[in-house]
Amino acid sequence: MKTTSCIICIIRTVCILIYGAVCTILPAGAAIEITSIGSWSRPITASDLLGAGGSALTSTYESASNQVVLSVTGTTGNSAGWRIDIHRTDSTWDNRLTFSLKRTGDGLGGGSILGGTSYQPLGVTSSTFFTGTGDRAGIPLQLKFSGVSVLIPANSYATEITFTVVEL
Amino acid sequence: MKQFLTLLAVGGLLVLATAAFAVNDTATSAFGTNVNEIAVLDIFGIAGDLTLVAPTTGGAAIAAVTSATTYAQYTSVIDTGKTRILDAKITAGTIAAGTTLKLTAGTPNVSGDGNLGTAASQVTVTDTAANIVTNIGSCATGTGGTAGVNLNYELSVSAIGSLIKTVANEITVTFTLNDGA
Repeated sequence: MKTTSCIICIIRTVCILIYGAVCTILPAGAAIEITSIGSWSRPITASDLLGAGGSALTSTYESASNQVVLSVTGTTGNSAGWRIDIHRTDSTWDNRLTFSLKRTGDGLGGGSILGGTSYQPLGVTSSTFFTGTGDRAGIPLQLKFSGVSVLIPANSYATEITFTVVEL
Repeated sequence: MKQFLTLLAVGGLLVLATAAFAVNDTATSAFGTNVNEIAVLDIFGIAGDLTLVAPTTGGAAIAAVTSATTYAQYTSVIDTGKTRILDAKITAGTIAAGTTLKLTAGTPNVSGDGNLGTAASQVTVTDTAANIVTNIGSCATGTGGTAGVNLNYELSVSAIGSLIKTVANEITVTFTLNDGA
C-alpha cells in the first residue's frame, strides 16, 4: 500500500515536471505558421516572338513584383528566428526551363528579415530562401522563368512551389 | 522503479524538446506556363519579274527564266511527334498560256534553330497547293538577309504553240504553314 502510494506520487511529480517543461519551451498557442497567397500562369504565344516569322521566342518572363505574398505568424516574439526553405514539385516540366524567385520587399512586422533579394533558382530539392525573426506579414515575391525557346515542345507545364518555415 | 520512472521522464522531456525545436509549417503556390502551338510565316524579299526573252539564234527554243530573290522565314512551335508542311499555290492571276511556273525550295539555311524541315523537289505551281518543305518541327529559321528557305521561281515555255504575247501578268503565290498529316 505504501509502495503504491509512493509510485503514484512519483508519477504525479513527473507529470508536473513534464508539463512545466513543455510550457517553458512552447508557450500556449505558439505554433509558427506560413501562408502564401498568389499563383502565376504565363502562356507563351506567337505574340512572344521577338520579331517577324523566323524569329525566336523571348527567353525570359517575369511576374509582377508581388505575384506571391508570404506571411509568417505565430512566432514567440520579435527575436524568434526562422528561415524559409523552398523547393518545387513538378507535374509536367521541361528541365530546359529554369524557374527562380526573389523577395522584393520586407513585409510588415516587428522582427527582421534578411536575404532572398536576388533571384534564386528553384530546384526540386529544398534550399534556404531567406531568414527572419518575429511575425512578418505581406512579404512580396517575384517569380521568373527562362530558357523558353522554339525547342520547348508545345505543352502545358506546371509545378508547385512549397515554402517551408523552419523555427530556429 | 524510481530509476525507471526518472529515466522515462527525462526521455519524455528530450523527445518533447526535440519536437519543439523542429516546429515548421508549409504553404504552396502553383506556377504554370502553357507553351502554345505557334506557326508564323513571312516572305522576305521582293519577287523579281519573270520575262521570257527572244533567243539570240533564230529557231532556238525560248530559255526559261528564274528569280530567287525571296525567302520563306518561319517560326514553328509544335507538340512532340508532330510536323508541319510549307505549301504553295496560286491564289490570284493566271499563268500565261503556253508557260509553266515552277518553284524550287532551297535547303533551309543552317543558321536557323530547331528542325527546319526538308526541301521537296521542284514543284509546278498551280491553284492546288503543292508541298515545298516537309517535316518541319519546332524551329525558327531566322530573319532578314538570306535566312530561311530560298524560293527559286522558274518560268518556262511548255507549249510554244499556245504562247501569245501578253502584257504584264501578275501572279500571287500564297504560302501556308500547315500541320502535317
